[in-house]
Amino acid sequence: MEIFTSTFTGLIETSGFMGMGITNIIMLLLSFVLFYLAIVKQYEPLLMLPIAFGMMLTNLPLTGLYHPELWNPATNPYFAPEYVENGANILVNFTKETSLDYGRVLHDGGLLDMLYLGVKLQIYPPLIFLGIGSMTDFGPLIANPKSFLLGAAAQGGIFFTFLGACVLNLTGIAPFTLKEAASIAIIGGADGPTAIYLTSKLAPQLLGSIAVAAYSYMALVPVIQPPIMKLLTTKKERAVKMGQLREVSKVEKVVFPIAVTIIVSLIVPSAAPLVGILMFGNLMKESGVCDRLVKTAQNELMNIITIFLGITVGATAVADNFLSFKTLFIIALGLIAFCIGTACGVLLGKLMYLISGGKINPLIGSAGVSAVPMAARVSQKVGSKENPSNFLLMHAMGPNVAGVIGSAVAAGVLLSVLG
Amino acid sequence: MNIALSLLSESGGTNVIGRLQGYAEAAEQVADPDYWSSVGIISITGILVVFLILAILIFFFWLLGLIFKAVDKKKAAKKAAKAEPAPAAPAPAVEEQSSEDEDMEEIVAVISAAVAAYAEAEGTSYTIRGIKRHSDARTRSAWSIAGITDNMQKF
Repeated sequence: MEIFTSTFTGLIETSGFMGMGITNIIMLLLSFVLFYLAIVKQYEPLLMLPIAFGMMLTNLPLTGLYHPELWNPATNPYFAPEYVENGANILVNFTKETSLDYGRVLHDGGLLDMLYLGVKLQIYPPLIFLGIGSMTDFGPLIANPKSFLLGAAAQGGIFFTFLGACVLNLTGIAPFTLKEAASIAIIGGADGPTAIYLTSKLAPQLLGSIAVAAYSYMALVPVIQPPIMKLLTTKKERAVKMGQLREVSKVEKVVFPIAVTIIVSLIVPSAAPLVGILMFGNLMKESGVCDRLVKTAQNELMNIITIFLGITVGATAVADNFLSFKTLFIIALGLIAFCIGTACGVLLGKLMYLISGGKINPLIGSAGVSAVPMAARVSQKVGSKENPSNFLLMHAMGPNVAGVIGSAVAAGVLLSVLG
Repeated sequence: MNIALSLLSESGGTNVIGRLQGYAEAAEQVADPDYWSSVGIISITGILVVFLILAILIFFFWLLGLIFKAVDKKKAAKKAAKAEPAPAAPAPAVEEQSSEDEDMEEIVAVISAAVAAYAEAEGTSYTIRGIKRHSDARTRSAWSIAGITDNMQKF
């Protein structure tokens, strides 16, 4: 009988219920909200569902799947004062507070810690870009290189939001460091992998909230953008029909990824992991000689990485990081970033409309925020409402894919200044 | 190349940013007298660098486009001079043909090959989503209509 009671109490003590706090319960409820968004509302479900599940797993106490403390450099025992006093400070100075004890991660880590290595070491986002590159047709952009300008203008949302986050610091409620402000601002790039890439480097503690905000707003592009587009354009501008794009030869399509990689990598080397791998995927596709590799990059590899990325990013959303005013501010700032980005794109589109003498429809400007191909579809939809025979889709694809390059470049710039 | 960024570092900009980054707390960063100026500089140089790079890309591809347009014109001129008796246009046949024929597979292969040849000539690609026999509204087959139009067009 004694043995029975002791085993029974032992079982209860090691069960999750003992470690359950109020914060865990709130986080679990939040993960249920994300399940709802993913399954019922279908907001980017391929990522939202894994994120929600990762969030649920990590907030179930004592599962040991993910250990936030392993990823916090401050808890690295080699940085403890007594260790430094013992003459190990050369190593400390060398690695500084940014470095982690990966040996400890491998020793003590759980499943999600292992998978999180791919986020921490910046492996997953570029691999997702490989898949995106192998699916993207840059033809419309090559046919109309001016689209690059719209792709650049829409990045205005990023830098405006960076300012905004810093201004919010004046309230003193939840001050953001420069690195955190930059990570929040990148939500305006409307590009999940880029946002995760930059945040995991600059402010990993915000990864969960930034990823959730970025993917939620990307799913909401068809809701967020049209009112802004209509507000900033006149009926006449929206009804503009654009001339047909010229044919792009295969040679141009092959030269494009090579040239973009070289030019961008030379100017902003820190954007090379994203832009370079994106273009690598595109070259595999356009060259037409690696069909097997392209198939893998587009399907299996992309799917595997999406699963790993989603569930581990969700796992970083532990209560300590997530339940704060910062998360609320991030959600607000993310929305501002999207709106300003859209507005900047449309406004430059308007300018181009004026300069071109009414040949360019300003609606394609809003597609400059990446969110491929959703943003381009929104341009098409809003345009065809004004004039049902108007087909803006291919024209909007130009700024749209330029936006992917633009936001990767913007991330590179922020990294090189603040990284 | 890296003008804006190097300017930032040469003028001590990176040092200021480095100093700002040295503070553990955001509040300390805000309290630094150089905080707002460096935030402004980061934002402005950021968007300028993005524009600069994409402008370089525009210039490059605009140039490339010019070259290719010129090359295409030359090619087109050559082609026009060379080939007059072009093969009949099989395009209308894409969505016509049988559904339960015994030699269905063979027909599908023939149609696909025709479409592929046509697509290659045009420099694009088509996807065949379905093949249906056209209703017997017309007395002539699609092929003969195509042949007739092709012959008639010259006059």
